[in-house]
Amino acid sequence: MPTPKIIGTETEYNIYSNTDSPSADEAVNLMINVLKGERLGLDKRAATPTRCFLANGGLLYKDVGAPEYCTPECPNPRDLVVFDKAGELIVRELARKVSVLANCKIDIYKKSSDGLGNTSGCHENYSVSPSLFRTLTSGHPDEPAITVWTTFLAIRQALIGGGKVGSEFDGMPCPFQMSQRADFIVAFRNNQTLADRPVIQTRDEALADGNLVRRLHVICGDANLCEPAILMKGGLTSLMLMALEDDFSRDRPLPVFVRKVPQIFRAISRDVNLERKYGVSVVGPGERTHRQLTVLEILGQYLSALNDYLGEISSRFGSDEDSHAYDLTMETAFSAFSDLMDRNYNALFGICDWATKLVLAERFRGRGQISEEDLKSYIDMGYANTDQNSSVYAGLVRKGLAKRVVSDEEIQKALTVPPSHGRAPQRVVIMQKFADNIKYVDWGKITLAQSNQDFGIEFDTPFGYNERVFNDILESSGTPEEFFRAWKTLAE
Amino acid sequence: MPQEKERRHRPPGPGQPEKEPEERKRTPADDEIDDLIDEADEIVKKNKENQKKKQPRRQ
Repeated sequence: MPTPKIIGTETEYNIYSNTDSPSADEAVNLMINVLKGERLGLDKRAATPTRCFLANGGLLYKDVGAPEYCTPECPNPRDLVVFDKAGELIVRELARKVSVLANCKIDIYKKSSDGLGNTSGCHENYSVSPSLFRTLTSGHPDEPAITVWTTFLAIRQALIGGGKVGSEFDGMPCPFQMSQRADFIVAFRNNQTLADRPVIQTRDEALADGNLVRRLHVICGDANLCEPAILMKGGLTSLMLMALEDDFSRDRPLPVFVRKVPQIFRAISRDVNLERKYGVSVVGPGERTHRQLTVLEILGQYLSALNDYLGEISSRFGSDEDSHAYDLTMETAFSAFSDLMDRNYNALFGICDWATKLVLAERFRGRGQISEEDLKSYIDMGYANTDQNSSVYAGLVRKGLAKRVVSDEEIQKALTVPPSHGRAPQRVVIMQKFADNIKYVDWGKITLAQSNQDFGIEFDTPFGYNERVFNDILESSGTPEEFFRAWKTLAE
Repeated sequence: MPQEKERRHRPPGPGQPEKEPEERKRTPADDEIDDLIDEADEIVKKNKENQKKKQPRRQ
């Protein structure tokens, strides 16, 4: 039985200021200061100059001089799309307000590299069983779960790569690649995020009771603007982890890369014609065969396996909403896969970021002599700019060329309302009820203060508690102390 | 029952031949994309200054 999947992303936005005062770095503090005075901000008492929880259950904080938006814990991949897109609006709006207040121009971009050799993270988090977490983060590299997982991470670039012009990896020049991040993934497995970045990140911060559930941190993906790409990123990756927890590939051998996965990441990222063949092993009962397959031949097998697996587990989802989100993920992935098979990149316009950018780059080049600098300015910077007047992606949306997964109304609602279930909405209502007593907030713990006494409200898991019981105890508790005592019985 | 649900799309298996790209007819979307490209010079201008600025070393 797989662990239910809670999904979240942490997107480090690129920020630029047109003046030295405020600098981009100072502007982030101003953004958080503005947030504390807004209805978007939640922990007005506990927020610091560099960190503030949001009314939607997410978090905005300053990370190495950049605004980083974390979605709340999302119970399904469709919610991830809603809250990831809400983050774009939140960060954009705060930057706009700071621009007005400080008489400057703050620009915000959602992308994973600056084209000059510096990367920004769009990290993903998935709840996984402690057992799978241990296997992935410390098992032998040849363990089937590890080889399937790392192969999946490498091939998913064909569906969810953010796309960029040129290379930022010495010795591997290329005109265009699927992923913005692949050039920066150079290790197989470690606990780094600032250098020597790995395919498997081993950070062990459960933000819950680690005996019950762990948080797997994935740092090799790109920031996406296309809604279907965000859906496929969260949905397919969650499904893959569920299948690994169920040992689904034991009876269904899948082709895997057995060595040099970081190098294969970079090779796939550059394989935009999808023609290259890669050496893979297929380990079946009592035998191992070696083959040469294209990335689409490998991806086709993984999608078929995940589709069959989804068919087996559909009845196990906690709600119809969650189940439908995974069905939608699979439909979207098959449709995109079919267009990739046909090399019909125009059909993927507004669906896959990298294919969209590739089409735009070819059209732009078609106008005549275009410098690489102009191409990067248009494709990489222009596409990712969150300013609606300077953004290519915003143009796609205006012209109806961006395929939508969720509605504008849902995104607007997600600015101030958390997901419908899981830990996030419960954390938010506790913070709202005891707004004057909040001393400290983190994802899995709220410390409430009353008469010089602290009461720690801890969540064992990111899944939240029985909603009826939770609502009863919150409603019947008049003070932090009463709530704390009732909470202890709930958590037991 | 969810298990009996027929999924609308299935990925072609690895044994199936990939299609050769065919000559593509223009669609209304192509005109919209051309309109986007017509705005490219303005977009390049607006983003060029930032494009030259390095971001600090990050995650």
